[in-house]
Amino acid sequence: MNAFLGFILKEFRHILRDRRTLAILFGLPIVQLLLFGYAIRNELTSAEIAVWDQARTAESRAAIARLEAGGYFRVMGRVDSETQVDHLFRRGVVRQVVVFPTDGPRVHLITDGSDPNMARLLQRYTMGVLSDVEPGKDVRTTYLYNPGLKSANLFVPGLMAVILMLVSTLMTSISLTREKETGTLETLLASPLAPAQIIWGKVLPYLLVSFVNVGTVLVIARAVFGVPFNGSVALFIFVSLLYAFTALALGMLISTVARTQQTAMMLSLGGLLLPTILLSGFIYPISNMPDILQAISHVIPARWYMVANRAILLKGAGLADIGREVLILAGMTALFLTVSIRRFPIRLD
Amino acid sequence: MRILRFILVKEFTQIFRDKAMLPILFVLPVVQLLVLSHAAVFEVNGLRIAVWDQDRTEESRRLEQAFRANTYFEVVEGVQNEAAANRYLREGRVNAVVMIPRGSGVVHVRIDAVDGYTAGIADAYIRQVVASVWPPAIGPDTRIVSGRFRFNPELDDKRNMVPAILVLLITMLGAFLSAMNIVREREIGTMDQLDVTPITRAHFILGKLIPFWLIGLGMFGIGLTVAWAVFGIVSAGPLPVLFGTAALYLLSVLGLGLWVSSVSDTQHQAMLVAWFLLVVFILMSGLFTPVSSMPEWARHIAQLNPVKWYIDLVRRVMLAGAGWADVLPSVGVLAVFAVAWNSLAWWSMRR
Repeated sequence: MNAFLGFILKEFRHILRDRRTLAILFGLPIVQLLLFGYAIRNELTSAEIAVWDQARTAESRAAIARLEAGGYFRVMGRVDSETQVDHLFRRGVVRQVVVFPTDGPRVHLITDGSDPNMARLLQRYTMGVLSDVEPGKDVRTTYLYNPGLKSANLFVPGLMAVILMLVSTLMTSISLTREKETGTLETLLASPLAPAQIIWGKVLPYLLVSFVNVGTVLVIARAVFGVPFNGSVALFIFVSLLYAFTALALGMLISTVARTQQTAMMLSLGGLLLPTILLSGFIYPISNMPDILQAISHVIPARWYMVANRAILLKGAGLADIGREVLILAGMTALFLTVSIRRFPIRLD
Repeated sequence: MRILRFILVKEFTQIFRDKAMLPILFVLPVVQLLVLSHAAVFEVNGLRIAVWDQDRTEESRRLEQAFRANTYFEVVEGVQNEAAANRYLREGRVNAVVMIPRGSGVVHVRIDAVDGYTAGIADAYIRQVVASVWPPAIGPDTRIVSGRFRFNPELDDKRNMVPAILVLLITMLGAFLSAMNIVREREIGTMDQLDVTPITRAHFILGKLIPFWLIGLGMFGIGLTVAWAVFGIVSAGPLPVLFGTAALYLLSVLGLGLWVSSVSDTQHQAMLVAWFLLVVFILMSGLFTPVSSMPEWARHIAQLNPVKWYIDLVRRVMLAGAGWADVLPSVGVLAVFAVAWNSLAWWSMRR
């Protein structure tokens, strides 16, 4: 036990000694959350459009003024032929052309469909600004849990999941591979420490680093972005730490499999980055995906954490409401740790 | 020249010696391209709603029937009071509750907005259904807005996602490989050995760049083949433009990676910094949320993002059929990135 404690202390000192890496570990999540929290939003503002005014009536001029006034669009110029429209689209100058034909009060939109998400937003907003026929005028809508449909409330919890996952996995994924590469693993194997103790000794100090990161992202989400906090703070910290633990264990697993730091990095970054962003429900709703992708998304830890943290923050859920997510994260952690201990290289090759 | 050949042979041997590396370089990206391209589905289907009809008139029953007949919705039974409505929403059993109060001619809708995107779509669909049953009055002066989509009339998300994900994959491949490389030589001490050989700095950098550059271009070709064979996506614009710009783009990404590598003390640091840059590049590339929607300062930062420029360029070539003349300004920007980052790498390697 004394050897184990000594090992943890040594690992801890290793982390603290490398000031530059430590600063990066603490600093990056803060910078990223601040940057993305502001930059990632799906409301339309100042989108580049052009107008094609064939009618040239007071009516059409008023409509163009309305487009310019809303703040949603930036009118980059005027066109008067189909070839000009094509030219502008191909050069990426504008995303949509609003056509006012000569016959009557109609308006026609030609939208660049090569970015479908943007195209849908553009037409929806333009119709909202120009159309007199609003479908379903008799509908009164209340949005529960996120009344203003604020982008920050939608994306900040998701960002926490993506950032915590990646930064935690990166911490541990090269811990053993580094010892393999620099040759110190030999010394470690000759010590009286059991594989399980080595694995735990590598993971535990980083859990403390993760604790600091959980704290900072929480403070930023609350103080800077005003994300509502309807649930219990203790529960949120508990679930976030559990999730960071899952990520650390996954990193550990990668480091027992990979032979070089480069392989470990390609696995933990090249293999995790896009799935965590795309299959966790952070941007694209999981319920829309084809069945097979929904099935695959079950193995993405971020998916479960995101459900839990949105529920705690926005819905004020308690432990009973998110029991399933907590159990799954705990199960994943146990699985990753067990496999790491089993696969631990007792012999050098 | 002879020296460069030796270095290239050595670098290639080193890359492919690690048996785990080959599948990581070529299989992992292809699998991700195949799987992740399906993830971006903004079309919302199977919205679960409950209809709570308090009115119970001919009118309200017609509305309820319209919801049942609509394929976007799946009507869930059992919400006939306030408590049930709240419970179903909180437990996520329904996305929305549509309530038709007695005799008011108005529909009240409560939507679970934890997922704000789905919530907005649900609202729009519900309004459409209501409008189809209770059509709004149209006079002779009512302005009607209609629209069509160019280059991708069906708004097929895959035609956008497949090229974009391919760009992300070759970016990650190039940036991570190059970022880990020089610092690795330093960490395991082989850098000192190189110092005493006749290898010059130019040889050294070229020896590092060329293998990764070829691997990246190879991956780009494989990806375009997969896009054509599996997804049936063929570029509307000329292929030489795609490959020519890919070569330039990879050069800039590799230069950035080498720069990160040459200023880092350890592979761990290089990895963290490369990760930071890549996540910033990817999330601010305009692929997921529009660049024009960012606050102004963030839009300026996005101008320094090579991924943003290149995804936009590839999208315009592959979908809108743009040629050299159309993409020239973007090519200029990529060239500036390539020169700047490779010079920085060159300069900081002196130490």
